[in-house]
Amino acid sequence: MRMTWELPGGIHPAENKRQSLQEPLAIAAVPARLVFPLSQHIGAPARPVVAAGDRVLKGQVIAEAAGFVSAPVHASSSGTVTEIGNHVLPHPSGMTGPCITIETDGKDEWTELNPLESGDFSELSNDDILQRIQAAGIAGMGGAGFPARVKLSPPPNSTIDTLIINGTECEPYITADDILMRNRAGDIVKGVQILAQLLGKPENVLIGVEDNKPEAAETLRQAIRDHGADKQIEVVTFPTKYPSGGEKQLIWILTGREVPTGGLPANIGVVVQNIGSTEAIYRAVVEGRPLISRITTVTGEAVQRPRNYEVLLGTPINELLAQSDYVASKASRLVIGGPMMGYAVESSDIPVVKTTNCILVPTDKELPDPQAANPCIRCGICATACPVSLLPQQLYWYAQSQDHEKLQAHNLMDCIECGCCSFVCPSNIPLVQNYRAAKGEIRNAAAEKQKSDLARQRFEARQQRLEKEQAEKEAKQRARKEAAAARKAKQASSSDEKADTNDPVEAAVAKAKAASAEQGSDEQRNKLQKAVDTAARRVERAEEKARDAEGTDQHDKQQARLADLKLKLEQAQEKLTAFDQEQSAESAADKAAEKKVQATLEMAAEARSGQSDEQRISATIEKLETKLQGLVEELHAARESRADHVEELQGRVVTWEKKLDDAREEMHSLEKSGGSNDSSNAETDPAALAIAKAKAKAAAMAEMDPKEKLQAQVESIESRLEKARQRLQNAIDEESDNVDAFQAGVDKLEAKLTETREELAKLG
Amino acid sequence: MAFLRVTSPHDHIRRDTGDIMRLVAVAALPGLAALTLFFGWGNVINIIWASLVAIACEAAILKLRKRPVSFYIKDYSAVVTAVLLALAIPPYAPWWLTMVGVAFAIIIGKQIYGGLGFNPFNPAMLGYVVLLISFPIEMTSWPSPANIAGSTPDFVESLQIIFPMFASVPVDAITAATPLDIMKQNTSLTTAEFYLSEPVLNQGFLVASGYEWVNLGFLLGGIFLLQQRVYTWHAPVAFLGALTLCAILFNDGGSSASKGSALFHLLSGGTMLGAFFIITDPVTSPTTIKGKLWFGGCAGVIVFIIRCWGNYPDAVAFAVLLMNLCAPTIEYYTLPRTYGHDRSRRATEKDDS
Repeated sequence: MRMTWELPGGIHPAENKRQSLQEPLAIAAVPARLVFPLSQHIGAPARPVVAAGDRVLKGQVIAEAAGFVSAPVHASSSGTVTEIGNHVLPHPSGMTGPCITIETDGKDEWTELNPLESGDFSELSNDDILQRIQAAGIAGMGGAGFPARVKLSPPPNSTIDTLIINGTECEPYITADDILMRNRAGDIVKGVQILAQLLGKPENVLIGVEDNKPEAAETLRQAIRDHGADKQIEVVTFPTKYPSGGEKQLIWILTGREVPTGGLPANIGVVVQNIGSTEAIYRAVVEGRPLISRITTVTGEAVQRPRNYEVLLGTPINELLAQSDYVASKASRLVIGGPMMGYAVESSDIPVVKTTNCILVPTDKELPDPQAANPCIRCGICATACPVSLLPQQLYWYAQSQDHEKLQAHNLMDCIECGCCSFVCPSNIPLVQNYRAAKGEIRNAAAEKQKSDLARQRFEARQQRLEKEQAEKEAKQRARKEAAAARKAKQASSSDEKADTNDPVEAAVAKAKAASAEQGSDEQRNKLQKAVDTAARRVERAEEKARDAEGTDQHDKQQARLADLKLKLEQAQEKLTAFDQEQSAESAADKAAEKKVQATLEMAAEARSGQSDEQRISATIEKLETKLQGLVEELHAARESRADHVEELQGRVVTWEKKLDDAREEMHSLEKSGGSNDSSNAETDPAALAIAKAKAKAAAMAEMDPKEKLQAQVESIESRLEKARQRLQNAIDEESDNVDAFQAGVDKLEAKLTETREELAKLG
Repeated sequence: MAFLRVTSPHDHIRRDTGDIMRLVAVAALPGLAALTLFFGWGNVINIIWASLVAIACEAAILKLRKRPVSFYIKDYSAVVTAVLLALAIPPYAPWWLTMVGVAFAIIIGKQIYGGLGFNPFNPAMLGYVVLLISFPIEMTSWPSPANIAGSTPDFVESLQIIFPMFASVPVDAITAATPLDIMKQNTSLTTAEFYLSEPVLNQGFLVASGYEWVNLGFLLGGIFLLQQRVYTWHAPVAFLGALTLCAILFNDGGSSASKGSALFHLLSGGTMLGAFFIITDPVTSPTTIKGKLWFGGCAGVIVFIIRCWGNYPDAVAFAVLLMNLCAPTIEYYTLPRTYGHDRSRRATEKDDS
C-alpha cells in the first residue's frame, strides 16, 4: 500500500453521485444537427478545412490545428456541412464563436481510419505516438482542454519519474470517469502503457482514485493484473475530499511534492493525464480513432433519468437533456461541469465539446440561489478550507479595496479557484468570485504597465533623438549666423555709402536696388542658400515623420511627401550651384537680367507649388483635427463607462495632439517661407482650429483629476515652449525686430513651466 | 428559456453567521448555570436586560445608518456581545451599569466602526473596561458563593436588587472578596495559611468555591464550540498554556510572595470565559494559525502580569484589548506558507512581477 499525503484544507460537500449511477452507460442518439466549435481546447482555434455544402464522413478532419498549442476537430457523424459561422459557445460568458455546423444524414458512415495493423504500439516511435495523439485531436478531457500532445512533450531537460493518471473525479454529481473506469478499464490500462512508453517508462505510474469509487478502483486493478502490468502500474486510493482532483493537489496527495508557483508539474518530474484522455489516447494510437465522442453525465433533479451517455461531440445539450426526460419547469439553472467549478449557462442550445464532463440541471431546492451576503466576521473558516493555504478573508478585503500589492503578497495568483472558501463562508460572501475578478484586474494592470513602459521607452528615445537634432540644428544656425555677421561686417566696410539703412523700408528699397544693380549677389546667394536649408530641414522633418508613421496607414502618404520634398531640395540645390557657376563666370549684365527674370519665374512657380503644399498640410491638419475630436469623444465615453482602455485612449489623444502640433508648426513655417499673399485665408483657419483645439482640450481637462491636469499642462507648456524657442530662433536667424518680444514669451513660458512642475511635484 | 447565470460554486454549506452566533450563546449555558447556582439569578436577569438594550441600540443605529434592520439583527452578534458582557460583570450590578456598558459596546465599540466585522476591539471587553474604570465599586462587588453565604437571593429579590426603583424596601446584596482579590491583597501569609483562613478558598473543590465551577462551565462550553468547529484550538490553548507557564514560574512553592498555583489561575476570575469566548472573537483577533498562537500566548502573559503586579484584580479585558491592537500587525507577519512556495511571505512584501 503506497503512502499518500493528506490534502490540507478541502471540504466534503454532498456527493450526489449515486443518482447518475443507477443506470448503465447509454449511447446517446445521433442528433439531426451537430455543432463543432473551432476552439474546444486551450490555444489557437482550429482552422476549418471544409466549406458549406461539403459532405463529410464520421471521423473526418473538418478543422486542422493552427499551431503547436492547438488541436484538430473531427466530424462525429456523416452528413453535410451547412454552415461555418458564429454560434453560442459552451462558455460562462455566453459568447458566440466560430463553429462548423453539420446536418447528419443518419448513415453514420465512417471515414477510413488508420489503425495499427499489429495492434502493438511498442514498435511505434515517440514521434509516431505524439503524431497520432495530435492527429486525433485529443485535448484534456477533465475540464481545461489542454492539448494532450503539448502536455506529453515535457521540456527537454526535465526527467519524468512519475506518471499520474487522474481518476479522482472529486466534483460532486459527476460520474463520467467512474463509469469509464468501470466499463473500459482494459483500454485505460493500455492507454497508460502507451503514456509510460512515451515518457521513457517512469518508475512510478499511478492511477489516483478517490475511495468513494471502490468498484472503479477494483475493476482497474483487475484489468492491470489481466494485462500483467501489476509491476508497472499502481492504483492508489485515498480519502474522498474536494478538491483532491486538482492537478497540483493530486500530485501532493500521491507524491508529497509541490509544483513550484508559476511552474509546471514537469519541473518536479511529474506528468498528469486525465483518465478520459488516457482512454482516448489508446483509441487514437491503436485504433486510429479520432476524438469524436466522450462520456458525459446528465444529472440533477430536473432530469427524471440521470445517467451517463457516450455522446457524439457536437450534440446539442438540449437533445441530450430530452433523452433524459428533462422537466424544464423544475430546473433552476443549467451547469456545465460540477456544482463546485462548473459554469452556469443561459441557453441549452450549445453543443457537447471535448471538455463537457457533466450537464447538471438542479432544482431550486437542490442548489438554492445565492443568499445576500453578511459582513465578513473573519471567522477564518475559509482559511481552514483553502487547499493551498491562502487567507481568503484577507484576500477578500484587499480585492474589495483593489490593493493589488497586498493581493500579490498574499499569493492571490496561487488561488486555484476551487470555490471551497465560498462554499464554507457562513456570511455567504462570494469569495472566489471576487478573486476571479481581482486576478483579471491584476493581469490587465500588468499588461497595461508593460504597454505603457514600452510607450515610455519609445517616447524617451524619440525625445532624445529630437533633442540631439535640435542641438545640431542650433549649432548649424549659430555657425551660419556668425558667417553672415562676418560677411555683413565685410560688406559694410567695403561700401560705406550704403551705411544709413535704419528704415527697414528704405533698406528694402536699397536692397532691391542693389539687387537690380547686381551688386547684391551675395544676398541673392544667401536667399538661395536659405531655400536649400529650408528644403533640407523639411526633408529632415518629413523623414522623421515617415519614421514615426512606420507601420501605420499614414506611412505611404508620408513617403510620397518625403519624395516630393527631396525633389524640391534637389531643385533648390541645382539652382544654388547654377547661381554659383554663373557668378564665377561673371557673365554680362543683360544675361544676368535674363537669368533674374527666369529666377523670378521659377520662384513664383515654387511659391505656387509651396501653396499647394500648404493646402495639403492644412488638409492634413483638418483630418488630424477630426480624428482628435473623435478620439476625445471616445475618451469621454470611455471615462463615463469606466472602461479599462481609458489610459490607452488618453495616450492616443496625446500622440495625435502632438501630430497635430507638428502639422501646425509646419504650416507656420510654410506660411513664413511661402509668402504672405494668402495670409488672410490662412489666418482665419488656424484661429478656428486653435479655438476648436482649446475647446477639446478644456473638455478633456474637465475630466481629468488634478494631477493628470497638471501633467497635461506641463506637457502642453513644454510643447509650447519648444515652439516658442523655435520661433525665437527663426527670428534671430532672420534678424527680425520681434526677437525681444519672442524672447520675453520664451522666458514667460519657462517660468510657467517651472511653476507648474513644482505644483505637480507637490501633488505627487 | 434562459437559465440563471451565476458563477461557481453553485453549492453552499448550510450554516450562516447567525447559526455561529447562536452556537456561541448556547455554549455559554453551562457557565451561566454554574453562576446561577452559586450566585443566584443575577446573571440571568442581566443577560435578558443586556440583550434587550443591545438589540435596541443596534436597531437604532442601523436605522440611523439606513441599513436593513431585521437582516442585521438576525446575525445575533449584538445578542452575543450582550451575553458576554453580562456574564463578565458582577451578578447584581445595577440596571444602569449594564445599560451603559452594553450601549457603549454596541454603539461606540461596534457600530461606529461600521458594524459587525469592522470593529478593531472586542465590543464586550470595551464595554467592560469602560465600566471598570468609571464605576470601580459596582464592578468589583461580587457576592459570596451560595455555599458560603448560605443562600442566594431568589428571582424577585434579584430583580429588586438590580432594579431598585421597583423595590418597596431597598435590598442590598452582600459582597465579598473574590479569590483573586484575596490572592492580591495577601502579603504576609503563605498560600497554605490563607487557604485555611478564607472560607471561599477552603470550601472549594479544587481552587475556590463557586468560581471554579463557573470556569469549568465555560471550559465545557468551549470544548463544545471546538467540537462544532466554530473556531480552532490555537488561541485558547496558547492563552491557557502561557498563563499556566507563568503561574508555574512564579508559584515559588506557596510562600507569602507566591502568585498562586497554575490551577488557581486557570479556574479563577474570567480565565475560561476569556479563553473560549473572548479571545476567540474572530473579528478582533488574527486569522492565521501562527497569529492565533501569538495572540493567545501574549494575552495569557499579559493577564498574568496584570493580575500579579497591576492595579486590577483581573485582567482578561485589558489583555484582550491590548492584543486587539496588535492583531493586524501579528497577521502581517504570520502568513501561512502557500502551496508551491518554499517559505511563508510577509503581507508587506512587494511583488516585482
